[in-house]
Amino acid sequence: MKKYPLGEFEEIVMLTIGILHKRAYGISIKKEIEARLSRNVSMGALHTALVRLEEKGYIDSHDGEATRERAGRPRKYFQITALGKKAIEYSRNTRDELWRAIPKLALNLR
Amino acid sequence: MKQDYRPPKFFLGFFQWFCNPKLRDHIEGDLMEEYNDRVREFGKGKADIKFIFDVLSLFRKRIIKPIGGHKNLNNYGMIKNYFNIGWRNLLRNKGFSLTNLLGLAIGMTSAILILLWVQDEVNYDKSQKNYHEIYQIIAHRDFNNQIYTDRNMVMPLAEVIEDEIPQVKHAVVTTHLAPGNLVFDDTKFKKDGYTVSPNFFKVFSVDFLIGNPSTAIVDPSSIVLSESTAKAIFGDEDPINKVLKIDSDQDAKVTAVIADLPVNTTLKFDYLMSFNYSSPDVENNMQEWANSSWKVFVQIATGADLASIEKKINDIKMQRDPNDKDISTYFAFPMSKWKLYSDFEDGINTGGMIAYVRMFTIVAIIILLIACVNFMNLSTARSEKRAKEVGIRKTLGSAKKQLVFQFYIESIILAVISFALSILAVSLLLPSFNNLVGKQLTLDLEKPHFWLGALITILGTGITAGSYPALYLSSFNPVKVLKGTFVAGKNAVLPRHILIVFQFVVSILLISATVIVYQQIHLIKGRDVGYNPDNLITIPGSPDTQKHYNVIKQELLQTGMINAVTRTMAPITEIWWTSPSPKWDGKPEDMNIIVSGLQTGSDFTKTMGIKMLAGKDFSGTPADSSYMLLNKAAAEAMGLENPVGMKMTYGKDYTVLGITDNVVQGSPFKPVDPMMIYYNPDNSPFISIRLSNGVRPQNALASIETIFEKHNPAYVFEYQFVDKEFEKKFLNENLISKLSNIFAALAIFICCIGLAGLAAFTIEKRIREIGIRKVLGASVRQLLLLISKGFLKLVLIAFVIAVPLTWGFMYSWLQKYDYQVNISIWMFCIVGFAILLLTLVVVSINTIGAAMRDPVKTLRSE
Repeated sequence: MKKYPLGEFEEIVMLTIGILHKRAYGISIKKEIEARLSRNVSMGALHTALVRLEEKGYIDSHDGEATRERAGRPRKYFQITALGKKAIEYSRNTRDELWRAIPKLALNLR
Repeated sequence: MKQDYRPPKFFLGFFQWFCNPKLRDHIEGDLMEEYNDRVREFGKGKADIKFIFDVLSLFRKRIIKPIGGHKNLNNYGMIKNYFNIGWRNLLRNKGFSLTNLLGLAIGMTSAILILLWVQDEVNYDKSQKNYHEIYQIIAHRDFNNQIYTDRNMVMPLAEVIEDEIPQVKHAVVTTHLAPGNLVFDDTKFKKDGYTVSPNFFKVFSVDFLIGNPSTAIVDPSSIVLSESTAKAIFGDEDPINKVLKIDSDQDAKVTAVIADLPVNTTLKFDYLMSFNYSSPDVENNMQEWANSSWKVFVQIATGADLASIEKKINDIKMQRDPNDKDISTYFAFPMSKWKLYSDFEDGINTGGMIAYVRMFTIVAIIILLIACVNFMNLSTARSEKRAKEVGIRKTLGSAKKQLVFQFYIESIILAVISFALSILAVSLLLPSFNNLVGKQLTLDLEKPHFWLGALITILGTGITAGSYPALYLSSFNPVKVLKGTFVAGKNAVLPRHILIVFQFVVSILLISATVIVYQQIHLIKGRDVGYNPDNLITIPGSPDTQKHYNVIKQELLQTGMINAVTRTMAPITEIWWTSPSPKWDGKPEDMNIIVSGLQTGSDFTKTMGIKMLAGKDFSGTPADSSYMLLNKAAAEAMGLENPVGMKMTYGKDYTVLGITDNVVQGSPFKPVDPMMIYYNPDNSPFISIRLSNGVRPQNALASIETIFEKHNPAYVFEYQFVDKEFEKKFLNENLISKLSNIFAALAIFICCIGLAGLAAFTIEKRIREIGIRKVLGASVRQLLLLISKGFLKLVLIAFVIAVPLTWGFMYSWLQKYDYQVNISIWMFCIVGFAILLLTLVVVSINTIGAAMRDPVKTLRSE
């Protein structure tokens, strides 16, 4: 079994939350990903990922300010938890290990 | 200020509806923020479309609220808690729960049984596919201002109606055969059949197991058997094309077998044949427009105007039989009324079984109501125990509405359990109940309408029983309750007393009514019927017995067990013939009398045990055919002091030979009709046999059977004891009497259960008071009286209310009878006393334990 289950899109979302640091809420995360990775992020996919991450305990949230723009609804800010940090670190380490394990020749492609 | 744009309302609403409420706020915020951004960037149209996509993309598993509710959204947890608490309460107070369960279960069992009966009655004939289109043609016949409703029609009527009235799809003519003998391989089977016109199966829907409805009875020598008849005659053999003999003189070939008709069908038969239209008899009958003895049924086109059809039928008949004009009015009687509204009086439909259907429906509801009252009383009486719970719940924020709901749930739990119990009881009792009411009722557990009924019964009972306790218990003031300054149950005392009084009023009413019904039947049964029905046997005759009558009579008398033998046109217990009275000299012009007629052979009055009031009986010589006997009622109706020797003209001249006592032939509830009796042995096939005194009927029957087997071999030997036939006239009354007995007993039993529970509870509450009283020297008897006094007072009040009510109801019930029993005040006194005694016993049994308890034990804790 996976030690820290984390899907690819979930990982992207987590990293983006990290990037945005304290300014990470639904729309800002969406825009950040769209800008950096130039891909479309659907509202549904994003919020599903956020729910899952929160369920797994990798991120937590607190309510923020409500604006007129949001029809009076509060923003929900996300931040990475300690467990979440371990999860992305683990993911990064395994990837690094795998990178390192690739013989140089194998990537010497033209 | 910049303008606010609104996203498509429907999709926003959709989102708000499906979204998990935990996520709703901030996702909705995100949606709005994005939307407003897009409106600025792309304009409203495009933003709207993108918004819709966003909403749809959110419609997925983790965002949609969980099915089955969410704790924050509904009261699922609370309701679960209600069930829990309700269940625990049931278990904790076993006596209380059992009392309630028993009462409700008995109430429901009786209600279900009654409603099954009612449903069967109401669904009579509904299995017919053309139920709404079938009518029977009936006539009101006005004989000198006395209107008889007659179902007998002339034979050709059906054919002409079908030909001449386009709105009539089919018209069927039938005649009911007197139960006949089907003979196969020398074995005789007594079966009930109809002769019908060949279009019968187009109107009446019947399931053909073998054979073809359109060809089965085209040939007049063919016969259609019901499944059970075919099985009885042929066993497992294939019955098709087998030839049966009918009454030894006619051959019939089996062409079809039909499924047995449902029990609740008016037109039932074992076999069916068609008229032989080429036979001289039928040819004659088809030309006969005055003599009515056939039944005519029509199927009309949907939506056809009934009044115009009826008018045309009248026109058809009057055109061919102008004499009928002043007498008859023909009308179409719908199938839906055949069973429940079959009675006519003076040309007006007076209902029939529907009265009993209504009455018993009311009884069912009342019994259930009595059981509900038990629940109400016990619940409010015990409210003290629940008061604290209500106080706490209210303090913790329960609204009154929720508490009401909670108590409803408890009563519904009880109703569900009672229902399960009563279904068990009903399935056990159904065979004996069927036996009692002569039906084949079943519990259709797999039918949806059963479960609909179950739901209605459960909710109805639960909500009725729970309504008052729920409203009462939930109205407690939490501050008072928790402070302890509130004595729960006090405010409910008066309503509780009213409810007890209600229960007893109903019980006394039911019991008194039962007694009066019984007395009424008893009165009628004890009435002088004018002849002696005991030890009298009637045997339906045949052409053979008519031929050999004198020999048969001789041999019967020679057995030494038989006192007298006579023969009549009809059984003595039935009237087969009524007509306007004969004429005599000096008959007033405006005098119109309807008389019944009976034709007999010799020894009529001797065999029947009829007293001759004047003159003498026929002597048995051919000269008798110019004489006639009248009964006392006839002489009185005609206003003749001494008619013996007078001339009567009825077709030909008769001389009155004698006056007989009044013989009750028709309904024993009605006065005896005027009757004339002629001597016409050739038309009198019913043989009546008077057994000698002290002869065992079994022995006599054995000898009689041998004699009949010898002279009447083609027929199954059958006989009827006249006293049993007479008893059959009380079929309905006996049934009503039995049913009301049972249900009155159940009602009082349920009352007693409730009373017992209440008494036990009262004494439990007053246990210390009783202890102190004992210490101070009260005897057990005094204590019992003390407790019973309250209840006895209520019973007395109930009695005072019930007596005039019962009197009113029963007085109007008795109005339909010509002979009425007097409603005596003594009967009420006895019923009242019995109920009082019963109350005393029930209360005492439940309180004696407490009254005898050692006061030391009850007072120790103080």
